[in-house]
Amino acid sequence: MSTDTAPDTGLQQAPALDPEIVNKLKLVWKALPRLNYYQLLEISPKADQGEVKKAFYKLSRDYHPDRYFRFPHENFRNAVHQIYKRIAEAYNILRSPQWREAYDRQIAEDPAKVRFSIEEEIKRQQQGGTTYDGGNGPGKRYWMAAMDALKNKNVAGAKLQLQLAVGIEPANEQFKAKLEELKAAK
Amino acid sequence: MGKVIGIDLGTSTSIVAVVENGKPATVPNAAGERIIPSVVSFLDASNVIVGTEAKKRVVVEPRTTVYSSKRLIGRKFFSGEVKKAQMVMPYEIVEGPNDSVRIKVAEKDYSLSEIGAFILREMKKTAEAYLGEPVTQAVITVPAYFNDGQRQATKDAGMIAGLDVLRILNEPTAAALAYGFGQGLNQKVVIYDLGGGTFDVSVLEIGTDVFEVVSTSGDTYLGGDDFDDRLIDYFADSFFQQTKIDLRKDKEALQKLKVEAERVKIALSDALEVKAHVEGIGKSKDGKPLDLDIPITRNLFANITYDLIQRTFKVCDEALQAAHLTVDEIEAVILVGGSTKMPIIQDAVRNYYLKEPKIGIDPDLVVALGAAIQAESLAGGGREGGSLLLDVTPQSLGIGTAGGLVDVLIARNSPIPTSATRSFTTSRDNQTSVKIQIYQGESRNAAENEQLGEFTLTGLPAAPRGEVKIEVTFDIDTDGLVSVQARDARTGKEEKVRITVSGGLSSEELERAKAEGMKVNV
Repeated sequence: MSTDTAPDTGLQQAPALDPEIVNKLKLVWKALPRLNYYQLLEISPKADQGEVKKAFYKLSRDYHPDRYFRFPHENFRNAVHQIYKRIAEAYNILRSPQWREAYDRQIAEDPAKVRFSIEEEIKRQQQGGTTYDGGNGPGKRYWMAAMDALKNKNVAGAKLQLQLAVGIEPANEQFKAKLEELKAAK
Repeated sequence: MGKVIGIDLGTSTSIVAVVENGKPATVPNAAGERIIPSVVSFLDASNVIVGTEAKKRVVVEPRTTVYSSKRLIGRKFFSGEVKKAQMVMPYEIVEGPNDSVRIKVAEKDYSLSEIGAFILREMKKTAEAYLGEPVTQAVITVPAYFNDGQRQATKDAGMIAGLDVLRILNEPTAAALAYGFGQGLNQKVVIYDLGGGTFDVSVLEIGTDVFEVVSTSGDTYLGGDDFDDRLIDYFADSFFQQTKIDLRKDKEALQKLKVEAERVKIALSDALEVKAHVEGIGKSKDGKPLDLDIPITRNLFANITYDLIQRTFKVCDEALQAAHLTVDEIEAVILVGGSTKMPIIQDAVRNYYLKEPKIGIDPDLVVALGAAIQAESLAGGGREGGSLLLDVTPQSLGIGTAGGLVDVLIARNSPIPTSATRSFTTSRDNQTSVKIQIYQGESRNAAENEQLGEFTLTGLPAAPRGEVKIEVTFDIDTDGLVSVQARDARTGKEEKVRITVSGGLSSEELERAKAEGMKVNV
């Protein structure tokens, strides 16, 4: 949901809750349209998988709709629900290395965008961008260099970098496939 | 506020449970039974019976006695599952509005939600008699792999039965809750749940206060019934070889054989060899009654059901892959569902997961106990430090695109509640409506998925094509139910969305079903 302006939430009228939690809820609700997944989960963009999960559990304890099941104010419950849905979405993207990488790319390109767009990612892939699933071996930096070279239309440079990547990780299928592709394209 | 009950509405049996003094317990009926057959038998238009007495009538009143109705709930009339059911079920399965299924008994059509409601009313009544107070709220469990239509139809059944359904809870999740509740565990577990008609497998991480479903997969048309069918086939084939009489052409004989097949299946859990015996099941050419006497060993039973068991492990593979785990990383395997009492299943599970499966709590009761724990937690408003269940959506949600394909909006195994937003635009000048079809399933091809429904965005302002932009938000709530909202991106105005849910009941139909149902004595 693209919440451009935060509607009235009833957050003011929430009694019998820890005032600290209510204050935090109000802040998060107001900022929701501008928080990226890392900010929402209150973690560093470098957080590892364990930290992502830990943050999700912690926020689930605070925001899961079941925690407010009998809470009388419907607006309040709706606001919590909206916040929690975004938290679940953030966790879902950040726990998957493949989607997290795509998300990182998207927010780097346009920091105003805070939600992951699967549409955009699919479009990018169809337009010839290759998703990286070559692992985290020593060849990765040569692969990245090759991709940079390709962006600058430097095919020869890309081939050189890929040959280095294949040399250092001879069993890596993605490196081999890309190198073959470039050779064939000539 | 009264007690909230937990109900396991099963294909073959149903169980109701409540938490008393902090402990979940199943509730016995007046006859002392805790496991109630999910069988509804119509005496006449205003009297039905449910449970053991109804089950006795499966053989003598096959046309008016409805069993295994959960296999049909929320299904499309023109689906393979319904075609299959029409061949084997002795009661009449007919087409209802919108490609839905109805069961015809004595000239009256019943939706599957109405049939389910009779069972739920029996469970409600059982709980009320036991607690000595009215019960109005319940948590009802469903197979994790149930789609939106099946969940909605189950929730409708609760409503028709006069219950406020606080949660539609996934059966394996409920089982995990019963297993781990208050145990202070920290484990990765697999729930292997083979019921009467459905199979689910879920991978969970159980912590002290958080139960996270990491992945789930299933087959909503695979269960103990299929094992019975294999025995029926074996006995019918053997009987044909002996006598040249085909029992499959005789629906009454088939019912007798079904009852015997179930008995043999259960007996094979204790004995290595069992003899099937049905008196006077056929007649010889000179009119003499013929008995069926066929022995079967546990080994042979394992052989004729080998492919069914292997099908469950294909589903297990999927769940593990989705969780990015291997069998070595699974710390416990918990068996759920009456069908896991079969030694042939236990052996196969042990071989697959390379560890001894756990049967700590009775596999028949564990789901209802978990439902009761969740019911108690929700009744308390969820603020009293109860366990938090974090579940996922079992199937991908998408919309139809040009060329008969599906665009995925929310992938399977996404944590719920969740939502996704997509923009739609007009493709012709002055187009005033846009039709959108919603699908659930894993195929790229729309036709191979379940169509949940379609909706039309109407009353769009007349404008050149591409200028009108409608933002549609798809929601999946904590029940796993799908809803849709739309708004005009320029004006911010909420658009009217009319969703035609295929096979579902409208609110008027629900009210009418409830009013009519209440006139019937259960």
